[in-house]
Amino acid sequence: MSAKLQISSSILIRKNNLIKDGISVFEYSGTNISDFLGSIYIFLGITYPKFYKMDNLSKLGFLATELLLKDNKLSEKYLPEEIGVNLSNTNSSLDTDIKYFQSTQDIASPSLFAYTLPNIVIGEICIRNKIKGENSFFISSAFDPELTSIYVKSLFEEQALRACICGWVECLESEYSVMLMLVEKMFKII
Amino acid sequence: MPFSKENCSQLYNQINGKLMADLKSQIIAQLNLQDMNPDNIGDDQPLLWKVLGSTQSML
Repeated sequence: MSAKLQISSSILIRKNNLIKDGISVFEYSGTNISDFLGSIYIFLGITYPKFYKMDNLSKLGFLATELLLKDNKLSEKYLPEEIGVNLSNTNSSLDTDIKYFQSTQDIASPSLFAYTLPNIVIGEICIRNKIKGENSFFISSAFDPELTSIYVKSLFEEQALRACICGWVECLESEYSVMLMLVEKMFKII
Repeated sequence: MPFSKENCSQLYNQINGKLMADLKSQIIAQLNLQDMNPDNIGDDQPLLWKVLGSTQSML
């Protein structure tokens, strides 16, 4: 029996479009990113009040993961420690950093401060999905497919992961893009 | 789909590809490169360095 890593599902979010496994599942006609994210939340039928406290980067990662795992409950197949997360982007948490800095001109906002790290999006995903495996957030000028593939493969080999949510979550002002993959170890009888 | 560098890259290009195509079109239009089209410019092809540093440049 041999094990191969497979992308069992993927999510893309760009230009008001939500795509799962190559099929557009939701399209929004407005121009406001907050309204777009709120519309996805309603579309997915989620009840998770903490969503409204998140910054846009976390909302993007959270919503993409909700759709990624919609028909694939990882918690029913794997232990929390067997699921990892590896995300990357270019602008880190700059979208919220700027908003937080602006808030310091008056009264610094603790609710914004809580999101002034990019890996907070991973925390939100892990809390929601009860994930306790290895997690990391890389900052690079562009998505590095070689680094992601080598790193995630090493997590499966060395950290005994059996599933990993990985990819790209980017947000700065009105620009955003998401590419998430669910990678699982598939066994094949040979 | 197997998890590989190529498939990761292919998925990422689906969110980034349109932006790259738009950028290439803008470069061609703004520099008035009449003999070129966006397909002539590689995604990872250096532009400024090539232009200044070599006669084998994009220009």
